[in-house]
Amino acid sequence: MNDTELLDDERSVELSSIAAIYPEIKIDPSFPFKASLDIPVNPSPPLRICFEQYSDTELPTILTPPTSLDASEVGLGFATKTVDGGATASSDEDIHVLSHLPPLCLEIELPGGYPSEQSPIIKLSTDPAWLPSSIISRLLDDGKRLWEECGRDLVVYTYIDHLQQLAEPAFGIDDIPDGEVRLPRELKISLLDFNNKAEREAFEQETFECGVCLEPKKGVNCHRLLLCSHVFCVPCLQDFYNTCITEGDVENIKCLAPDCGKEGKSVRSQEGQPNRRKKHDRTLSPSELLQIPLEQETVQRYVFLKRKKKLEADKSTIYCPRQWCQGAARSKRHPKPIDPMSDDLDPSDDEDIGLVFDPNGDEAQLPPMADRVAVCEDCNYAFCCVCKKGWHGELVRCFPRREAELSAEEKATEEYLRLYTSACPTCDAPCQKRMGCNHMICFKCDTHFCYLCSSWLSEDNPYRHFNDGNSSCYNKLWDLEGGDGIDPDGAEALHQIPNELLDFDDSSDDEDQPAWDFDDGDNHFRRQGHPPPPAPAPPRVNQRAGGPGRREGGRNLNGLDAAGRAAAAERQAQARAMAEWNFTPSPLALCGMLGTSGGISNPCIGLTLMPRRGIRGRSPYFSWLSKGTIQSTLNDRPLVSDSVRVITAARPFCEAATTIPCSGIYLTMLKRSHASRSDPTMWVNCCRRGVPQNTVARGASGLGMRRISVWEKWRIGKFACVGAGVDEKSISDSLCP
Amino acid sequence: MGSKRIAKELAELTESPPEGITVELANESDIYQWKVYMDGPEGSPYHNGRFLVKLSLPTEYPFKPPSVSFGTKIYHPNVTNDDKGSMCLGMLRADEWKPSSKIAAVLEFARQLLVEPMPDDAVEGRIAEQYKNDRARYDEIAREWTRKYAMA
Repeated sequence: MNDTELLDDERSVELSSIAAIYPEIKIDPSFPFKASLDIPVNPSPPLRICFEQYSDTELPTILTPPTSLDASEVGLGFATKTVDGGATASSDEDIHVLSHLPPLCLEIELPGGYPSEQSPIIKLSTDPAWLPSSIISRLLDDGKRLWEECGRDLVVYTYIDHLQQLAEPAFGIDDIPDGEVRLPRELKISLLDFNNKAEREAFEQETFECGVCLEPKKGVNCHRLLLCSHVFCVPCLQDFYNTCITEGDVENIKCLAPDCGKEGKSVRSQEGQPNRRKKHDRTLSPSELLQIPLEQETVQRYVFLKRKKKLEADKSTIYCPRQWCQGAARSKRHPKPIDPMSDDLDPSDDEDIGLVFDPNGDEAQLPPMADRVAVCEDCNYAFCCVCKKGWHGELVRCFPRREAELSAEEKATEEYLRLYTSACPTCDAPCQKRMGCNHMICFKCDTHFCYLCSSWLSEDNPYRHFNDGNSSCYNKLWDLEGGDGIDPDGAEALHQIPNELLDFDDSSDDEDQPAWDFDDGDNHFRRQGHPPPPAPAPPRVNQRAGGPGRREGGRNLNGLDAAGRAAAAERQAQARAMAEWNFTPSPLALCGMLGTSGGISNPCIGLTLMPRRGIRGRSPYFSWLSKGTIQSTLNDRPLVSDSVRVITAARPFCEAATTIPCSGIYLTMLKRSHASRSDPTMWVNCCRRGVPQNTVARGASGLGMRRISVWEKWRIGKFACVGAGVDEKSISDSLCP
Repeated sequence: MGSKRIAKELAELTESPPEGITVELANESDIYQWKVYMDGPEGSPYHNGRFLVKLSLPTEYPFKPPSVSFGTKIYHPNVTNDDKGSMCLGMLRADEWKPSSKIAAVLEFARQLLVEPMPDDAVEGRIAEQYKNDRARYDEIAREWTRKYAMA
């Protein structure tokens, strides 16, 4: 056949005009009258497909993972979600809703004699073969029928059009009386995989307006959240989640849309389940974060923080007594995950309360001997959870540490916590208000509570407590507005250190005046009973020991036992070591953390002292938990350590690069009175609570030898306020020349 | 990213402001401080008043919520009765705020609060009490304050 004949041939005319309509058609290079075309199958409405159980013989033949990047999660997640609404779906059936199926492949050959004498030779197939053969043969018959019907004429276009129309209802595959299409299980993975890929492609082609930057973005730069299907652009998600994780604000790793997830809440309350603790966790899974994508390291921190929060919220968690470790003891309730990135973050149930006891309390509430052994999950140290010594076996009778054995530091810590913090009624986390109203939201467990009396407040109407005439806190919403332990007005003046105190006075080291003999003259505002005092006097941080109230309250520790004296001696030695090291009188930092007081439109940030062991921490270690430029008011120099993360924003975060031992040194965070939002510098005054600052200056602050080495890491450099947008690295560069 | 989005929202709000609301920058060189004028909604005791609402955006906006306060003295259970004029908007709490909430929504919510105070969520307990139990008196004082402070 030569070219002219070929051009004149009706068959080639037909195929070339078809190729003009369907450019994707493939014409067989070896035989010009043979072509193949993929006909997309995107059923609308989507097809409900039930994949039937394996018969025993064909069990796990297709257990290979899906090939597309996100098939397993997206697909399964999506499918399970959509099925939830299905009324007929029974829970044990494997039903999926698919809107994209592998295309129907049409191979058509136009034989000699076509169209007048011969009908086209048609082959239909799908890969994999999901379309039942009965339907395929029906479609083949249609070809012949159409050819006849159009008077044995050119039929290819008509036929393709016919197939396309039938493809929309998926060739009537779902034309069965009760519900879903049944397909063999072997097809499941490849069909889901195909569906996901197709959906991904469609998604990438689409354009979305990102609700955060308000810019139109191509789907390829967007991410659809698995839980709620809201779409945001990847840079915004990364920005937000990275910030949250850096700041330790893991609770905010959820959808960015307003009101997202709120409906579920109202439904629950309608059902009358006042179960406030069992909030549905709407935070993203680590695997989804990786998908967005976030850096592996960031996601690991997220997983770590979530677990840490969980552990800390559990009052029964026991911590390793080794001060350099302080890991959690192994527990069945919170097993240490083997794979840190695994999705099931600590499946333990909030309702299931572990054994909580006070190691210093009554004998009767202590666990039986056999249950006292605890093993640290980090350093594998086996210890007794009552006496905190190395495990002594079940036959040794052990006693809890007595009050007198507590070090002065620990006592000071307790005292401070008692005076200037309020505990969350749910998780007992101590919290210190820095400013704002008395409606607090626990940073750990989100409980709403009253700062004055620690009452639990209803989330829906937290202010009733302050508006109800019968309440002990009636009209006290704004008591302590300037913060607890902080003088709202004269804060700066209060923390000015008189010049004479700034002089390093080694000679005046007074053996008879133990360093921990604190007195603060503020016994009168110990918040013990109800109602709390309306406005406690500010702590006199620069007050010399020897105020009028110093012998009150049984807190004079001059009559210490031998252990106390030994500690005192050690402290003196350390003080000297400090002095030799020529340390300028300078405060240490402590470690605070948040507690967001709600209500007012300026979100009120509180500062919470957070001993790692929760309330009444016996630990001299505090986690560094707060953010802010640390500026010493003592010598007016910024104080920063390379072992401390100091970032700028006012919102504190709850996990640190490291922990600093700074027991006995307390800091009060003051908002510089003229600090503005864009200048989040916070003034920090650090002193050992109740210890006159010159005592601190002498170094008699209870810093142990080991801790001095940590002190040595401190860099005191010139750097003023860190403005927003300065990254940590440049800060640390400027600090550690 | 923040300032671009703020510019966008500002343009949108200037072009098609929500009913009874006009926005402008407090100072043309600072996009983070807004002056919002809110007309007292009809049917409320604030009607015919024109209230200055100060909107301050953090540099981290939209990741951190804006803060809203009344620059004009107003008698309202949800606005503090002092020179700060602080407001209690649940959606502006750091833990409630969602980055895709928009300023328009915040302002509309604030204006809605003028029509319908939320006495159960009040920062001024006394006014809330009065609003619930002695509406006439509350209306009267609120109207008087509006006349006194919100009508130039």
